[in-house]
Amino acid sequence: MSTVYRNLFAMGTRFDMVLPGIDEETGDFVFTLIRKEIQRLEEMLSNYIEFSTLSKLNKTAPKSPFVADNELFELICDLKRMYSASLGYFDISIGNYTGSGSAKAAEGLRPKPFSGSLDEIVTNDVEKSIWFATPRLTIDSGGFGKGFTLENVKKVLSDHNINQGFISFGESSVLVLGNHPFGEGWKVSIPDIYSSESVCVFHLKNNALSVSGNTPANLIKYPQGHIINLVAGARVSKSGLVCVSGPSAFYAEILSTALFIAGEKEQKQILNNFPGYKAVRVSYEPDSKTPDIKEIEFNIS
Amino acid sequence: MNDQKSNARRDFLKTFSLISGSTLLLSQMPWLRDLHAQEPGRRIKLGIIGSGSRGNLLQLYLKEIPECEMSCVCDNYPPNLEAGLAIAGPQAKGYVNHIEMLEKEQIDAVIIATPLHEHAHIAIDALNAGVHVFCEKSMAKTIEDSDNMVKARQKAGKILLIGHQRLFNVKYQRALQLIRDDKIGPVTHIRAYWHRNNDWRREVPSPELERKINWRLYRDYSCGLMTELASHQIQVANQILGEVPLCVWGSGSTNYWKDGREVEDNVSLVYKYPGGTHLVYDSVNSNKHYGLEEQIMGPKGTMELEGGKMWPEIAPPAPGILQLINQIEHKIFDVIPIGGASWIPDTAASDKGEYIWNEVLESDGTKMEMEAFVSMVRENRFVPELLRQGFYASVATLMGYEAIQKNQIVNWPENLSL
Repeated sequence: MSTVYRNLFAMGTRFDMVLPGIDEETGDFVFTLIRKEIQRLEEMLSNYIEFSTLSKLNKTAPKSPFVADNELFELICDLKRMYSASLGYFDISIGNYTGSGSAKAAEGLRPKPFSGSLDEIVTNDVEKSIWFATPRLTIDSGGFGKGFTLENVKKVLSDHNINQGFISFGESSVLVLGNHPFGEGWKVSIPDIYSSESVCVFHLKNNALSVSGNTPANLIKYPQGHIINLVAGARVSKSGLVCVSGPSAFYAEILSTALFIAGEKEQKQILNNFPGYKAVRVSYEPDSKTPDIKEIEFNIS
Repeated sequence: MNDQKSNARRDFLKTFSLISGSTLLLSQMPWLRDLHAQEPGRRIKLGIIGSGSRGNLLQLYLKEIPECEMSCVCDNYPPNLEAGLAIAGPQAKGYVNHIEMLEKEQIDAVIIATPLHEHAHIAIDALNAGVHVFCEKSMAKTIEDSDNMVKARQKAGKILLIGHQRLFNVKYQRALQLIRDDKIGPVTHIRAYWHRNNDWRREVPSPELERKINWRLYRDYSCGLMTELASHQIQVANQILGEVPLCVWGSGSTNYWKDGREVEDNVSLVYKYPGGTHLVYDSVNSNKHYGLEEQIMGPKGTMELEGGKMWPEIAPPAPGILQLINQIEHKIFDVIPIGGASWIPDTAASDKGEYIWNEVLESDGTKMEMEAFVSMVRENRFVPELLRQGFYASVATLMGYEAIQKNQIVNWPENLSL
């Protein structure tokens, strides 16, 4: 048995997969299925593909109910639940206010208002239809697409009895299965955004890790930050990271974004709604390059 | 030396210095090895035979080379002759008959850029007259004519260079080096194509000039897409594989431009090389979406030579992933560094491939080809490999043409002179 490594480029970033303990032929077979699954999901969720299901939803739902298949309907319902559970800090209706569904395209275009919410998406459980109560609302998949895809990749691997591996999507969403061939679980380190020294290590086994935040390089390119706080109506321009591990890559990605935006008090409240997830905040005082590393604690009370 | 010539010379030397920095690359292009050593000295005299559009382009490059002068121009079509003389300069004399020009002029070499059916007999006349020859591709209209040109060169002891400019294109030769360095593994398959979407016609001032102007469309003068386009890419395939094809089969037809032309407007062929490797070739005149390309494939990667890019079968891992792979290989359990924040624009990536050659090239090799020819003539230095490339490309091209015409598999001919 060998270690199979495969990669591909999708959703604007790279997908890397390391599967120890399987032969090349099996690796190729499974990778072909994964490639198809990622392509299917990109065609379902991309804001950049005109014929994607999400594009059709965004175009139709402001005018009339859009009848979705079960998968998309359940996804939208789940996103609405995540919106509530994250106290509104996870809100992917930003496209409403950028006019394009792209945070990049919003750069400097719209100082305000940032006030929409997923509450304005109305779902009908019987008809499986989705309707936007505000005509300008559109859904942006940028905040959950990689995590959602990784969960679907996990299903493909599981269906083929592959229970050992390390999968990275854009190096900010990671899924691990089983054990490293020479150790218990997988140890993933998060580098400091200034020095690249490790600031914390997550010991993962059969779970996922997501990292959200601003690095200096990105703040030079996008000084106002690429993440938008729709609760406050402002871009988040602070340096730092939030790393979240937990059973689902989908929820870990949602949480890492929400926790990065939220204040300390809200962070604890949010995490309280996600049992089984661990979060570490790496923050920096203005003009300081010294990281302040804190695990976000549950607010049990 | 005027400013224009001086600048052009500097450009050439800059390009050459990039090449000469690589011993390996020079080993692929030995014909360039001595070019940088040229010193100002005797200017060679050139005769231009065929001063149509291609001939004029060659003239423009030659005009930038201080070591040569165009002392005469020959063309039997007055507008072409006039254009050729205008580029050559006031010292140049005009002729309508190449025999007369060869008899009257004391020239070192000729540049032949006539229609295909004229290549062989003019080149042979020039060689027999003791003159070096540069002849545009494709070498000749028949295999027999191509072979006769080789024989004439052998007898005369002069230079015969066929105009396959990719032999002088740094990007192509760099690709060859990378292939020899096992970058894509052994070459197992080549696909090449040249697609255009036009009628391939030139404006004809008077109906009786149709065949003279649009000679590429008529079988008496040309073998159509095969000799005018495919020959370039067949030369590349031969050089990449280091072999000549064993045989070829193919088909062609005129399925769109039914305008009285005699040559095909689309051809499709398969060349079989030793070891079971194939060149799959097609050329059409009714669609340009895919344009022009040579795709070189191996188990480790793919190269596209016209586009100048290559793709490994598996893209290099991200740094953290590479570290993990190395750990597993060395049976080490350690941390895997994962960096970057989610959905940050500059983490976006796509499989854009790597550039084969990361300098902007000023020409497709034709300019350097002219420099090289002048250098060879000045040094009376014949490079057998260059003639082999031109000759073998011609033979393979004409095999393909024959396969299409006869609807048969055509084998590599025996008893060639080279």
